[in-house]
Amino acid sequence: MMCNCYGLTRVTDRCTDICDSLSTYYSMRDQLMSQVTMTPLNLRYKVADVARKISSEILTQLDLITYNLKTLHSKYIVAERPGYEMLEAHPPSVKFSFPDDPRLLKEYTAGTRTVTAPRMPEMTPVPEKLVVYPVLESVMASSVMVVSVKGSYANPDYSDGSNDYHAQGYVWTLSPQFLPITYKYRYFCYLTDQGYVPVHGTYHRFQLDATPIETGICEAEVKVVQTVRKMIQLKDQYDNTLCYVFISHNKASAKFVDLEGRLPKQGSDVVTYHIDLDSVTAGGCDRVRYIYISGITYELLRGHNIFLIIMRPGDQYAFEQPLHMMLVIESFVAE
Amino acid sequence: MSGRVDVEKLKSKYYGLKSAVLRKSRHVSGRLREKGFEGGAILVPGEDDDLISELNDIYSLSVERIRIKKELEKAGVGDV
Repeated sequence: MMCNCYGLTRVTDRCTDICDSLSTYYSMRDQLMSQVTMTPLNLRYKVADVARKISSEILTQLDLITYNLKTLHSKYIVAERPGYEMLEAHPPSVKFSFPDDPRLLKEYTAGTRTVTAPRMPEMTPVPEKLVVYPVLESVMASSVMVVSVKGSYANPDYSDGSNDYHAQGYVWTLSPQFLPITYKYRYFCYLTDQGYVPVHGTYHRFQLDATPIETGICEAEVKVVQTVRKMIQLKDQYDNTLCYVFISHNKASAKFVDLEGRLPKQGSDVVTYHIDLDSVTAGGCDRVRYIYISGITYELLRGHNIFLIIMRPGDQYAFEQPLHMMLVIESFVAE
Repeated sequence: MSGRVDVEKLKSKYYGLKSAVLRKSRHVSGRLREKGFEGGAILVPGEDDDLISELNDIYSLSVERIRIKKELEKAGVGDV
């Protein structure tokens, strides 16, 4: 494992210390291995026990150091190298269920209405670069990662594999004086006996109390009382910005209807993630493919700019799914 | 004819916003570099209010740009 302190501006020294320890232990392990290899076969059993003990100690230390490094990386901002182990611990599990995706169409029209899309191997390449932008812990505890897949941003004439693009990001809170903000979200929906259900989203018994604006388009209000915003700039190797990713992590409230009709309309506290993708060049955001939030990796449908994830505290852990995820046609602040 | 004019107006607004977003974000990056931050930063209310205000502006401009892009797409202009 290579050590990378890039982006850990405020804890560079701590990260460097950990990296130094890491490289020391790796070199100790390499030395040990070469010692064992160089020992003649007939004598190797004599050093084997000692080697095992030392090796075990080294591995323990390596685990500890790796854990410290990961903690550091997950707490602070980092642009990572290809193949970072953190991702392997959380492989993408696609949760969007979009009926206009031909791979999902069959399942959708079959009426299963499952929220968990089948694993699609061809759509889950191991993302090679991660950008981690944690929410300020004092405000809201959660980790959010935008995962983009390395690719065609590089100049084909020159690429050493590390400079295809890089990221720059900022996290900030919105002052209470600008809050609350009531957002209106418009999305494609269809009518059921009990209420409107988003077309591009997950099914849940409780749905936003939506108003139909025109046939097939609904509008729902979400009142945001606290927000942490993130802006991530993806840049090419010449420092040209290709894409802005904005993520608003909000504490909010919204009105819901019970599609089973057993409970009356009710207000509920919710946590929302509002994602805007702004391509500066044509297709600049195409490589932003996944967003990772608290253990679930969501796939963002290509060619769309606004996404909304809504969950009630506890739901995600109880049901391992968000309350709603939807593709938003338009979002604006209520007058 | 008026439809054409509207599209041109929208395009002009779209590019104006794009330029404003890029200009402002370059400015923010420069300011952060001056403060010793490279790659990114968690901004602290009270300490970084000026930068937070600029970032909020960038966010608003971007949201408006996304909205106009959608209008342009509706009008059949998809290559902005």
